[in-house]
Amino acid sequence: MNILSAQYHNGPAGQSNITIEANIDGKIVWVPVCVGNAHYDEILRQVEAGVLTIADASTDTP
Amino acid sequence: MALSTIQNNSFADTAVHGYRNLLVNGGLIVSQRGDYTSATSYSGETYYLDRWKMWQASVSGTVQQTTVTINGVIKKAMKIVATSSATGFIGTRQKIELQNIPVGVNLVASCWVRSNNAYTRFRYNDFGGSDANSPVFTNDGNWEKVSFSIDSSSTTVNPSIGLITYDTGMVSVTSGDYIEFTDFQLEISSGSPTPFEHRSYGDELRRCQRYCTVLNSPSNLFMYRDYYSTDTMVTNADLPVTMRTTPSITMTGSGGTSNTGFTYINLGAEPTLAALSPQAIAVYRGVASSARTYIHMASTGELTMEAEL
Repeated sequence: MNILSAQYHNGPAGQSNITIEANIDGKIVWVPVCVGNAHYDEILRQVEAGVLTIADASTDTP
Repeated sequence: MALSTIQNNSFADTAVHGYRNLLVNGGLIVSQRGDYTSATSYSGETYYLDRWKMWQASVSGTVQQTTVTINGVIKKAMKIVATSSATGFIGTRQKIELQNIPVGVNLVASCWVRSNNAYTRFRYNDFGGSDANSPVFTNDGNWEKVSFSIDSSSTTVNPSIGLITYDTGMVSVTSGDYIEFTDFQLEISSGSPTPFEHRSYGDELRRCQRYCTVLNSPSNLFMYRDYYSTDTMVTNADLPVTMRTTPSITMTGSGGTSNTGFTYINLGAEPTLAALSPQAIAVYRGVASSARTYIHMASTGELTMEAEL
């Protein structure tokens, strides 16, 4: 799984960091912040390995 | 049904009853992710036909949902063909939730298969705390019904079982080598496998949707929301079944606004997609100004929710 980028997004009611917009193998995938989701688990693994950084949510979102 | 029609052998230990197959889409009838009736190049560790994950090393290949006739019966099947030659393997497997495996009992896997690679066989991982191969099949290009007994005692993680060209390590695979199979069943048994349990398409689809759900909208009305507000526009959709976990979402289709799968006006930017639980998803974005705002999925749009193992 080649994760090229990742960025948090806030929720519709202002909830912080409820979803991650990730470019995975060239496709945009919206990944939940949920252990057990295979994409999120891989994002966490790559973050802990120091090969991926999740960008903060934009201040103009949602 | 009159009691007189119940045969005594219905109560026998050897009686064949329903809900035996622990695998999903063993008959290869469901293909939500796409139409793979033509040979399609695949990537390793990726899902194409529902629930079947490609197993591949060093060899490129194609996957296809085929229609075959075995003993006069027409069936759907899955065919994997190597398109390069190397020392490696081709195959596919299905991962099974640990909670769905009766740990501590004997299982038997069975399927119809044909292959022309001498090393094609069953292989399981993480059953009984170990990985193992079955003996190789005949692999002469003709259909054969094969089976393999498994001890699931001490199974502690999500196990998997599938078909692969493999030995104690990678093997010689030549372009054109193939594995084609159908009626893959895994059941509780200490003896011979029972006949494949055919389930309806609707039943099998619901089981598949626990792991992958595809939603689209030829009518242009799906996830429609229309209002006047200065607030955030939110539209939701309930998923047809509770998924295994909160899913990831991929949007495809370019017929909507800004080349997306949604048609909308007066949003500040492209909508954000989020699954907040295994039961529902939301699409939302702040509006650009105080004016009529609406959103709906474009007729060419499609959302794929993934909660696979």
